[in-house]
Amino acid sequence: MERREFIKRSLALGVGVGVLFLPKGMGRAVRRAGAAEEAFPDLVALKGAAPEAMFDRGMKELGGMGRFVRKGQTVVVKPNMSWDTRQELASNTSPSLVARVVKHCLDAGAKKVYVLDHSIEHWENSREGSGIGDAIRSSGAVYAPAERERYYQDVPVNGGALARTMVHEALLESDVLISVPVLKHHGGAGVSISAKNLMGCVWSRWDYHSKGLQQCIADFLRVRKPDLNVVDAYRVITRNGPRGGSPDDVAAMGSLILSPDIVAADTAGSMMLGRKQGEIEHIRLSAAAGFGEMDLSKLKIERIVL
Amino acid sequence: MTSRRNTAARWVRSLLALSVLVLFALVFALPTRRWIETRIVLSASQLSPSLLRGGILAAAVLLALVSSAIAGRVYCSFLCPLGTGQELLWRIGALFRRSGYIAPWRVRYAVPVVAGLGLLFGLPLLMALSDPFAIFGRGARGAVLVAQEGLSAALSVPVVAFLVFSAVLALLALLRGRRFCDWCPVGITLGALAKIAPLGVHLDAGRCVSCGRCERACPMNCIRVAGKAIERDRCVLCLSCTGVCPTGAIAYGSGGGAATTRGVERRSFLREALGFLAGAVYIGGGSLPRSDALSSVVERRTSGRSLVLPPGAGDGRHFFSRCISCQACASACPVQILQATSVPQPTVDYSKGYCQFNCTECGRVCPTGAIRSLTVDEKHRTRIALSELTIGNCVVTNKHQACGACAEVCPTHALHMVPYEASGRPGLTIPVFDEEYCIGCGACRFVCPATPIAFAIAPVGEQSRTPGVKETHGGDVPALPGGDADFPF
Repeated sequence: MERREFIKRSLALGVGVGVLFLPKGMGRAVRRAGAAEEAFPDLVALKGAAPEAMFDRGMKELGGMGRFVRKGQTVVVKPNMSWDTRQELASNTSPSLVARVVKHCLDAGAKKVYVLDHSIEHWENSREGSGIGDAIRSSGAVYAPAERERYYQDVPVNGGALARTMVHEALLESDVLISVPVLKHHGGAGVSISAKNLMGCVWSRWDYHSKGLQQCIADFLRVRKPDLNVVDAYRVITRNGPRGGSPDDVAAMGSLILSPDIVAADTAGSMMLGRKQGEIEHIRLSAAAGFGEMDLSKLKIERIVL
Repeated sequence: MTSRRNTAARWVRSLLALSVLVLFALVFALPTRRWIETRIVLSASQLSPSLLRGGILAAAVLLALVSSAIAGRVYCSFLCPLGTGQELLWRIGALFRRSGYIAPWRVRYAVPVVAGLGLLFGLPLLMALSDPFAIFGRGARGAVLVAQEGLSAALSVPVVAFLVFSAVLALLALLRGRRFCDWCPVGITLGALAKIAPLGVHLDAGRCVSCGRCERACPMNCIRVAGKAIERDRCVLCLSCTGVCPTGAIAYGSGGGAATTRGVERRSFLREALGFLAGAVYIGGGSLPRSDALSSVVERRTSGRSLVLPPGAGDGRHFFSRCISCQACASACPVQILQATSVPQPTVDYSKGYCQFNCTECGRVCPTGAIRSLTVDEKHRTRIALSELTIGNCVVTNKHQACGACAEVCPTHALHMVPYEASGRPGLTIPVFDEEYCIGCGACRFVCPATPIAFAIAPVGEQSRTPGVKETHGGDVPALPGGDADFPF
């Protein structure tokens, strides 16, 4: 054996053995990256069952929650619970879905799962009125209070409109972010899906409106991009959003969209609201800044009707 | 052998009085919806507010009157947070010095008389100033505001007055016991009945050795050892005296025919008559049909101040003829927008936040009926003020920026977004305002990011009904896209 060949082989063996002895989580990640990443769909769209049943099935397609949450990690689950309206009016995420997402995280070994939202209507009225308060207590999640400035830390954003912003400390301390928005029409932003949902992680949310709502929504992804987006499209406000307030504003779509790619999830959601690909400005800006893929034809999409 | 009497009763009374005080303090300190039932029960237990609401037939009034006529001032013994508060302070003060018998001024009988007459003419001012629950409420609210917001932020003129009044009372209590109780219209009314009650605290002159311990132990200072007398109209049944008497001469009960204090009682016939008269005017003032002669004067005087009344208050005439400024609504408001900013009665302060659409707490806790309790549906249709949109200030017209914050929070869709074609920007929307549906909650003003703010909230003279939530089927978005396909992508 030539010397050069020997060195090559030794190095290869070293790397191979090295992978075997990598720290547990990391090794799994590397093995996954090599073996299965391509096999998982980029986006799963489901229809025709209860939100929690669709979530169970969708996560199976995506390779299970273990792909996103590892043992001992801290997770933030960010639903929309900004409004003191009852579940049928669909201004907030379905409580049963929030509870199921939390359960999957805890089953995957999460140390702690925070649920938070800087609500628009009174925090306690919104948490309890939406039904998510009960979901938090029954699922074993921890409610992270968000109604006072002291829970937020000033961080740099360096975006097109947002230079700095106050971000909830639980988000800054957590390993994993799962965005669980409800799909709905929005009078100002066009649609409210996963990127708009993250506005509930900042303190000075009205800043967005004065600095340019669309650009600010896209800018926040520079602070934190969700590891997983779970778009609740079971009941959908199709007009008079984001609050709605009348059952006439709500369409029973009975769907759920799952994707690690926030731009793909938001594009698919906006299309369910009848918008064209690229029509919504903040989704277009997020794609242009490289936070995900807007062209759904380039993605592997799993469509499931239950 | 110990001869002290009523030990168990004394302990039960102390615990009861203390728990009631702690509960009152808690509900004033913690604005949270989980305490709402406790709040309602506590404020409904108080005599003067219940008198305003339901007259002599209100449960709290009847119970207090009947119990006093049978068993003495049971109400004052444990149900009054101000009485217990004073007593607590006096017990702390008593570690350093003790006072003896204090003769009250006879002019005190004027308090219930003037308060009762004021009610008849629609001005609850003296009741507001002299009712123990209202005084406790204002003091507690003032203290909580200072604790929450800091001294400088909390101090409006009325709040300073609340705090000064409470500080004077506290100092008086520390040095001289339950002094306010002698002037209390509730205490005087119930005291007149307590005097003829078959049950009460009695002193057996035959067993009394005139040691003076009871006199010094009495927070009401209503025991005179020199005359071997307990003034039963002033006694609040704290039972302290029964615990210190070394010979067992003092006990709560029917008196058992022992030689008590008949001589003294005969001499105080005038006081007895005065007490009955004063109490009758007070209870009568709250029970008889009222004229609004004085409340309409107050309404005229306050109309220049642009006050927005809490939802359910109706108009100034109704509100100002019933509100005794107890601050129960202000402490229950989850967003703390009910504040005594320019007048002692809580009014809406839009700088703190906006009135929550589904919330009806202020009307539910109001013990006097000054704020009527609204159903959620009535609340959705009650206009307390009116918003005004200056579209020239809006960031959409100014900067051609997407916003929609106002329409986002407008619960009745009085504001909604329509395409702003004049801008030439596709997708940009601008708010349009339909005044008919505006309830004046102030959400639009609170969230508006423009400088200057594009919204102003104008008071309305009288609260009125709106049609409710506006149905807008304009459809910026098609109702159900995607046709027959399961997914449109």
